[in-house]
Amino acid sequence: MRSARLAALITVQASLLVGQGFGVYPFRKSVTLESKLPAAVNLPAGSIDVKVSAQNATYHDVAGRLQSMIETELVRFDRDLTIADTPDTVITANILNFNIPPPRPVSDPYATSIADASQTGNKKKAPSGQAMEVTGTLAFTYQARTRAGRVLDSEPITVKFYEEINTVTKTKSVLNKIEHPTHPKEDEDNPQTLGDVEQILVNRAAARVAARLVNTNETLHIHMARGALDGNNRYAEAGQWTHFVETLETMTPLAKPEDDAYRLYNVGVGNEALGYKAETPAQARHYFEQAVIDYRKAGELNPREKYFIEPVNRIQLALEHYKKLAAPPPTPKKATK
Amino acid sequence: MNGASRWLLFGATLCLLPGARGQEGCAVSKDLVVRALELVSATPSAGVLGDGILLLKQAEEACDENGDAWYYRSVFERKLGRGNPDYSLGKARERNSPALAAGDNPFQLSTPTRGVAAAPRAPGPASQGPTLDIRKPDVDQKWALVIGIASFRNPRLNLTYSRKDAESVAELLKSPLYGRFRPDRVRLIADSQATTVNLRAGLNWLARMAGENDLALVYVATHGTARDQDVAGANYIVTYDTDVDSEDGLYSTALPMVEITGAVRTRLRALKVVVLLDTCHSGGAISQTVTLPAAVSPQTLEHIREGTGRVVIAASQVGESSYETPKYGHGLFTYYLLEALKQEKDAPIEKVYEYVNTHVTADATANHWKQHPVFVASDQTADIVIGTPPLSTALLRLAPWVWSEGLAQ
Repeated sequence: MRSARLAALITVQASLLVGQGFGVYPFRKSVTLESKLPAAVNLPAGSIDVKVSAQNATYHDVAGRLQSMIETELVRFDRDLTIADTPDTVITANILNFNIPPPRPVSDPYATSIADASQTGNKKKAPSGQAMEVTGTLAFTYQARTRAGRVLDSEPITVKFYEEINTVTKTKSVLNKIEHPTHPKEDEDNPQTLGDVEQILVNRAAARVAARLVNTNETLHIHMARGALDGNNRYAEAGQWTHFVETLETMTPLAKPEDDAYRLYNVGVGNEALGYKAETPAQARHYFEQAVIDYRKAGELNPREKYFIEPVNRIQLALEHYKKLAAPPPTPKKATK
Repeated sequence: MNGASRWLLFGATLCLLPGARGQEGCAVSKDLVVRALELVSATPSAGVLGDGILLLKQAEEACDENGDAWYYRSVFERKLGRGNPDYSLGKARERNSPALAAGDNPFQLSTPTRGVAAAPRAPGPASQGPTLDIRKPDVDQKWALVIGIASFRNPRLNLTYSRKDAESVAELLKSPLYGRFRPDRVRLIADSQATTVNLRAGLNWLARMAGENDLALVYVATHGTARDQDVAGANYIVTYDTDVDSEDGLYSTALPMVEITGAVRTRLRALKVVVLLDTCHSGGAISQTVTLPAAVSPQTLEHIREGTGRVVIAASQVGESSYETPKYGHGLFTYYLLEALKQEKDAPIEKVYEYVNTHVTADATANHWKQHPVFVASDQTADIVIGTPPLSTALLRLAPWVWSEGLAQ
């Protein structure tokens, strides 16, 4: 009996190698990266005040939470900042759109292969190649001004959430606000409720604002492509990113372009990780630019894979910071008598 | 590679495993490249090359942007005939490797290991071969790079006589009576000028200027330091701007000894080269991570002597210090070196060493010190006389027989 269970387990594991993809929760594999971003603008030392408003009255609750979260993030990364009524810097944000549509079913061929394999010997057709797509959007404008009214920074920001959650692994009930029995709430990217999705959007939005104004240190959980690439992922898990990238770059490309897209995606992850490790902004930029190329190539080879888009947005954020940092400071205007 | 070295290599590898990630970084990566280059010889075994590649891969992992790690890996892989040297070379190119830009090849000696004395080398596209017989002391031109640091940016490192030693050596070399170097061909780099960048520039100058028929001399008087307390021998030369407060600082800011050995082995075309190293001044432990003194290791000496006409004289053996004494106003080694060059000005370099060794050892013993200078020379020796007049001087160019028949006897 024991050996039969073992054989079944091996069959399930082997099935993970069948096709390329990210797998489905809880078979998904992710690595943790420490993203260290330098502030894009020089915030005057001293006090700040954050005000978040919303165009639509239904967003007021989110606005309140975003305001609180921005304050928290700024102070968390710069302990010298204080919140004051007459601050040195005023940070304002205005929520334009906040939307979390109901989850909708989508097909997941990778999930099908797992489900099929897990039911080996059972003639029933697998009903579980289905996943639920959970999405969300939070769009807002933000400005940072000095007390005198000089604009330090200003930009529209949109943060998005996208996740496919497999129905086989009981995650469907999780979406109905029942906690998963074996996966306690520990990972931002594994939402337990739709309320969690809302909070994730607020957190990401606050992080974006904070990253503009102070040096930040964000923990990223990045999905790794699996399948034939599984063996190589151990180098990423061990933090051996150079070897990870080299192995992927020197291996024979996978036969099908849509499969090879996942190899290129993992190369992008490797280059992104090397960017966070780089010693100088110039070197970091080099890696991020390479990662964007890798992610885009992956997207071109397999346009159906939506996970290839998200990292490009993430890295472009980092690139914007480095470009802004590399830009020469504005020349002061000549004083006129 | 001996057993102890393998353990060191193993230790280096351990440092980079997860859990020891605090030591990762580009400074550590640079040191790993230095470690790999320290393994280099003209005829390395496959095992040594494999160890070198392992170190270089660790260097890449510690700092992927270290282009030199990628470049040297490609060189090692090509030498071994395994791996993917083109891939590594591509990465080196992307990362603007300085070693790649310089075309450095640590396995390719700038002079042959044998055959030069018997017959001039066949003319090639890069070289016409020496036109002078290296078994005679004749040289076309003479060049010297003289380095002495007594005042460091970190005053804890300060020495008393190193600068004066270097200045005296430079003066003596320029003297028409003794050294007979043209003054514009003796470059003195001292104290605040002796930064790591400037020393590299000095080595480049020497490599660029000294031709095959020339005599090149390098004199270095400063601290040498080992990378850690387990290694006997100087891996790094402490320059004016070296940060010795941490290993990272040391690796980033000191001049690796392999850069000096590399310049002598692979870039100096001169078939007569003299290296005088006084790098083990007594200083004790100056920080938790950096220990002084460290004499030049036998391995380093072996590397320098590869090729033709290389002579190295080090001030002391491993485990000894090089002493300074107010009695002479110089370091003991340099004092007797200066004396030897005056008294044995037309004698071959072996005689100069004999004089220095005899007097330094005796004087040190009389003071209850232990200091024994070391002499190492290439198998393919040349007759080197530091004080020999260069052929390029106008008078001698008109009448070369004056010295070739007369002084050489």
